[in-house]
Amino acid sequence: MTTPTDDELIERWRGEPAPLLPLLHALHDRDGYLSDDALRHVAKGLRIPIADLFGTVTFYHHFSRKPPGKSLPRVCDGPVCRMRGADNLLHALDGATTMPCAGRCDAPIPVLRGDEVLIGTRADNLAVTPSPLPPPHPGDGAECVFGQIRTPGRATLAGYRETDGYVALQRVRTQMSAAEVVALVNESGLAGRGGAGFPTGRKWQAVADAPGTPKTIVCNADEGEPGCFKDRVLMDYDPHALVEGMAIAAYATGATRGFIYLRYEYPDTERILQAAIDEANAAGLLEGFALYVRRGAGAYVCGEETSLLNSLEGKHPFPRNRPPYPVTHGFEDRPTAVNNVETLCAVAPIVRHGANWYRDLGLGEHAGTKVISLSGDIARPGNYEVPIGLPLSTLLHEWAGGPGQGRTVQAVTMAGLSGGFIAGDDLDQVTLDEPSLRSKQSFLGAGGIMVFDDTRDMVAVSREAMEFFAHESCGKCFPCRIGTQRLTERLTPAGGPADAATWRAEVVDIGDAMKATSACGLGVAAPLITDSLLRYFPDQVTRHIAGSES
Amino acid sequence: MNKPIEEPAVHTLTMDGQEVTFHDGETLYEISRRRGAEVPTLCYDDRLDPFGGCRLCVVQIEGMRNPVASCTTMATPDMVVHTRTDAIERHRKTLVEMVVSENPAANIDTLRGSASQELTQLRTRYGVDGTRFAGKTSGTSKKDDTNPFIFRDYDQCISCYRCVRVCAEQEGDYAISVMNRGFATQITTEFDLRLEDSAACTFCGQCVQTCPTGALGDAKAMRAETIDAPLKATRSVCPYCGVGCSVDLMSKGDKLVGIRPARDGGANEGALCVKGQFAFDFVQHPERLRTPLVRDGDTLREATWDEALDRAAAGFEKARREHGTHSTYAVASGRAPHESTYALQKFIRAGFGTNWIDNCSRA
Ligand SMILES: Cc1cc2nc3c(=O)[nH]c(=O)nc-3n(C[C@H](O)[C@H](O)[C@H](O)COP(=O)(O)O)c2cc1C
Ligand code: SF4
Ligand code: SF4
Ligand code: SF4
Ligand code: FES
Repeated sequence: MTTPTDDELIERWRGEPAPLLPLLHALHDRDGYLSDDALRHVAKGLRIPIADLFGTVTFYHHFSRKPPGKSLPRVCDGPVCRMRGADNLLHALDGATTMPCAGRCDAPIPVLRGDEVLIGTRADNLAVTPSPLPPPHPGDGAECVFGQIRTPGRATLAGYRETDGYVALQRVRTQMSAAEVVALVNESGLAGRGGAGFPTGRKWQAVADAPGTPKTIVCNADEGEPGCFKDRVLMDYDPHALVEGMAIAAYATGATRGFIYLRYEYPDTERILQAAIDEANAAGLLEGFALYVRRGAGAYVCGEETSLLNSLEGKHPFPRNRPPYPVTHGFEDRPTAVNNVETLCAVAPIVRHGANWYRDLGLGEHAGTKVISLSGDIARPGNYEVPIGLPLSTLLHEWAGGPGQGRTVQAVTMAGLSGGFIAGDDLDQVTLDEPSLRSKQSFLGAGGIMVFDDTRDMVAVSREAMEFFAHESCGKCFPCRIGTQRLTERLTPAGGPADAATWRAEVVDIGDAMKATSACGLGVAAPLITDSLLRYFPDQVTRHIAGSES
Repeated sequence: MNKPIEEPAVHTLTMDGQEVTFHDGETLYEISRRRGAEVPTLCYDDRLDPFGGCRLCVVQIEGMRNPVASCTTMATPDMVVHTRTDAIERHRKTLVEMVVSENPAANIDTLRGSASQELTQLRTRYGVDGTRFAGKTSGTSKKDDTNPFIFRDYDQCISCYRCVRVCAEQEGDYAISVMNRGFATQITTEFDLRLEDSAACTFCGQCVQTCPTGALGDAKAMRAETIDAPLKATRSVCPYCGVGCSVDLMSKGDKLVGIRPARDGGANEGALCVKGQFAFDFVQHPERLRTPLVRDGDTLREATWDEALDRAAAGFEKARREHGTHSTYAVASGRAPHESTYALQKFIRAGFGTNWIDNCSRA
């Protein structure tokens, strides 16, 4: 096969929807980096000002600007991988650099080399390893999105059909109106599983009602939150459930096109999704609904839905000002439903089993289930589909085997890192639902929980968390751009004022301004780390300020 | 039902305890400005699309958990808005302290540009001395950019992106953009080239005049930083072309030190081109003619006005005698004021009896 020229690649992508990212990837794959010449050609071919294109390329962590670039290893330095020796691995691999949490916290440490994900803890035991399946369901109730995921062959169309695949889509198309689908999803109580928890039925209703076509369904598969790896397992083992969910969403909203915006760090998943879409298309299941996979390039903030839309459109991925919201002004300013992978995967089972079935999966007042990605100092890490309202302690100790021998749980994070820490007595009191967690100034969010036992230095963990937010802050708004940097400095040994009262006042004031005034959820959430550190671990903070990190 | 068409709907809301009327499409910030409430901003320029970056303009709307940026929030009927609560003023002070901590320089010469004192003024307003939140500073100055017009002192940059947005939205040049992200953001050209090597920059100076910190400075005006005299602005019109952009001629003592576009100029609303903005050195150039010169053979010598005018009249007279009425053709200078241009055409038409008169302005 001859190597395609710049012009051939530009020709290939120019007429496609959302062409910039795939075109840049094609060039990056070909050369291993993005050369000045290639970028000049892209700017001309897609009519993007070259200064803008250059600036936007530098936004993404994984685009290299010089050779060999893409083939050099990237080692995950997320919170769990650091505990498992990411630093040593980094130094053992030639030319290696770091990447933020790459979504394999259940079986660390992932190393991305080219388009391969290698897993291991030492240079000599790295190997391509498939995602771990969720452990067998430990609970009494039924599962929703994990209901069939462990069935072998489920990822193929044939296997999916053997386990009721596409029955829901068929039923919706032949027996229900769009409004009835929206009503059903509303009744089920399904709410966004990507972080913000917005009721899914209401979002779809808004898109259906909004004037303007074409309408779009965007699946948010960016999964950039550290400690979250649930969307990966859903897509790897049950890709048709996502495709079916998106097709139902399209039917309910009147959308005619769809995108799956997939994080860069999941190259295998891209192949699996594309194969599923090809199979579904070949079987005529997606008529009237054009579905595309678009791969990100390394930016946590691109999981924020308006930043994601800018990224898809080839613009600089700053979040947009809202309102207007994507439901009226989304992809290319047309009505768009942005939904998380897990949210969309729940749709077909809800159609098959009914709204009440889903609602009743939750405990007490709470509707439905949530997948928790559990990792860190815990006997059985992995993805667990819990009934909403399950006590945190049940998950930690009964389902997942508790911390290591002779150890106790010192703290857990919530919502990956975005919900800060839960610790102390609260570990035994909170239940896994928003009202309970919000009463502790935290939230469930995307459902990542990382466990830290009593040997861990919580100031150091907080610093690593804040470094992540600082690394990922887009730089649009002042409180977050400067605040994440200043908080990181203050969590660094000998960083910030030496006087304890001054140190605390600075950290509190920065955090308060960030929470009150940041332009998107990243800057609002980041100070929950310092808030909860100060609340639960005042003594460790005092020792840190005094210069003797505990 | 005969309703008048196109009558913009008028609504009311409550701002700082007073009822205010507004039209559809107005932002809370615009209303606050109209009312004279001094809501602070740093990323705002009324010619540009609201951006919502600095967050200083946050206001509290009753019934909402968090404050909102007033510059990006459309007013809706019956909102109850507070532009200055204790909590909001506290956050604003923190934000100013934070942004000052990345740009500790206190004395930015006002010669750098029209907006260059905005951050300094907020420092004073909030009593920020620059000692709080000390830490790493951001932005790398481009001292190697040797262009004669724009001083790129990004150590003072606060990443408000007004320069990038004015270049795109007002100039349509897209010469600069934002590279990297978070605290590492940096204003850049394509491939981080020097401005003079970038293909797109026209050196219009718009970015300089909107910069709220002096991170972008008018390099020509800054030559006068050492002159010890007050800076004075005199309203005038750019002499270069027929557009007629309003300018403020900036002088110190009797020296013209710079030009600034007038934001209230009807023709330009704060814009200029490279000539109007930067090409003024000829005004006080040492080689500029000060007395008439006449030619004796191959050499020019100084002469009185009377002698020079007699010489010129004789020359015109000779040309007309030998070659006829239409041997004279006058081109008025684009730099001449309106009145002089009028006088010239009168002079040619009435004096020479020909209509062969033109002007060099072709912009
Ligand atoms: C900084 C940031 C990162 C986010 N990352 C993701 C993500 O990776 N995946 C996701 O589904 N939602 C993410 N979200 C939430 C999205 O903005 C949005 O709420 C969600 O995709 C909507 O889908 P849902 O209603 O199905 O949850 C993120 C939000 C923020 C503020
Ligand atoms: S909060 Fe942070 S990530 Fe979000 S817009 Fe502001 S700078 Fe960007
Ligand atoms: S001088 Fe004009 S063209 Fe050049 S960067 Fe500034 S605004 Fe853009
Ligand atoms: S150079 Fe000036 S206008 Fe541009 S981003 Fe920096 S502070 Fe703002
Ligand atoms: S003026 Fe509103 S955020 Fe800057």
